[in-house]
Amino acid sequence: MIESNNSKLGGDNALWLRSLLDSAGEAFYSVNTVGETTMCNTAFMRLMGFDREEDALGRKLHGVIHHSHPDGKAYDVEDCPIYRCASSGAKAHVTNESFFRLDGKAIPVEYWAHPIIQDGELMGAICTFNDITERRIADHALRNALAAKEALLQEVNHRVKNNLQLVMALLSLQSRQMRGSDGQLAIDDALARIAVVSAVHQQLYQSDHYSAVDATTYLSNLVEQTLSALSSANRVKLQVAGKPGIMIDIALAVPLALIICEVATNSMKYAFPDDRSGEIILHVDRQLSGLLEVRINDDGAGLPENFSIDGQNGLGTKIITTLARQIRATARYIPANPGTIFELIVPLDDPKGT
Amino acid sequence: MTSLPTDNPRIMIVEDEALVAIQIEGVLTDAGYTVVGYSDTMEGSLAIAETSQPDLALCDIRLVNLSGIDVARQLKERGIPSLFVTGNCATSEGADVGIGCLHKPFDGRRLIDAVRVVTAVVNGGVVPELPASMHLFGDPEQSS
Repeated sequence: MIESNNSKLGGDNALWLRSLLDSAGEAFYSVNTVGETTMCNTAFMRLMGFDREEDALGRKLHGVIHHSHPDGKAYDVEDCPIYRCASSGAKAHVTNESFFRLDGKAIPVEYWAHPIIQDGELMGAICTFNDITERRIADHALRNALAAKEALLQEVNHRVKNNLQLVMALLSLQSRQMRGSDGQLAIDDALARIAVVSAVHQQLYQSDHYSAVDATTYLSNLVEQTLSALSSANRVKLQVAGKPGIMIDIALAVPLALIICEVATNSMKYAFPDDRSGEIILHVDRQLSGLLEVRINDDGAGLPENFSIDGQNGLGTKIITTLARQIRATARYIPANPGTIFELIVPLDDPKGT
Repeated sequence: MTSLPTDNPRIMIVEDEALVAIQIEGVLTDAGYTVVGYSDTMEGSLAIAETSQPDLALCDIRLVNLSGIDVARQLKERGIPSLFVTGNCATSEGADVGIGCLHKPFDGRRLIDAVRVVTAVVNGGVVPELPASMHLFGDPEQSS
């Protein structure tokens, strides 16, 4: 709100104020309560195409510089926020309108209207504004660049998915050629692992910012898909006991997913053999020390006696231990009653893991 | 649109990646379906439709110089329902002509589950649980 005090506007003060207004880069003009122009500065005259302040003073400028909306529709003065501010005192900040120069050229502007109050009485309004043509051009260029980035990302994603499909097709065809042999089982295992990589890609692409994912949602979706691919009639149910909002970086998300899906696959093979039914609980938590704790607890057949993860030679175990080392995690199987717990502790602040 | 035979539906494939087409053919054949042919052109697809009268089409969306949605539209006019099988299935594009969409990459089991879902939808039967990465058009919860 602008309070006028006549005593400060006389003599040197008026000259000082005039110099201040004319040196400002921001354009402004003031109107009385009926919308007649009472003052304008040099920036206003330059932007709007006025040669002299006298050409603007005393005129109702709405019909001259603010007569239309950007879409060309007529702009009724009664709807004008500047006029409303001058006649009722309501402040306004507008970013999506245009002013029109005297030569008719439209200029996109951002403007503010503030009431002028003198001795408690509304005297009019002052409107300050900026030409935002450059900003509009920059915004447009930014939007175009974003759209191009989105299109490129979509194209890359499309190609990755098609190439993964091609890899799966090749393995699938190889598997059919080797039907009934031990080799077919190995090919099918590889196919299942490629399916996990594909699911990881899908999950990451669907994330909002492509750089981090919610650990609980991400891992539970992947484990659910792994169980669904291996379990007929959903004989093994998944329960999730994880906290939402534990965000993990993509660099950690991929190896983490491969480990957890490998463990889930092992559970299906060894904890629930011969169509045995049961339950797997996925537990995801962030400890106060900053460690990510992921546990997979099954109520299946349990571990063989004297089982140690380090004593296993299978490819699945090798994948688990190798990737755990990569993300600086500790992995271990713990006997439970019933079943087995796999526990993975991952340092989230490790440079390789975050 | 007529109903689909549940025991041995005859299926055509519209796919420009030949290895993926024969992967699909192998998976379907192993599961007891009859694959009547595959094509990567509009003319070839319509020729298969005319001569073999398939019960269902599996259509890729982005083919070289061809939209699988356009093919599905032509097939729909001939009474043949389509399931889109594509890596580019994030929107409801093609919802007016297709039954649903299975995202690539998929494995054999997921493909068979998707075909079973489509068969149930076309026949008005009880729709089984959708495989991961599949959505039916007209089902807002599954359309993302």
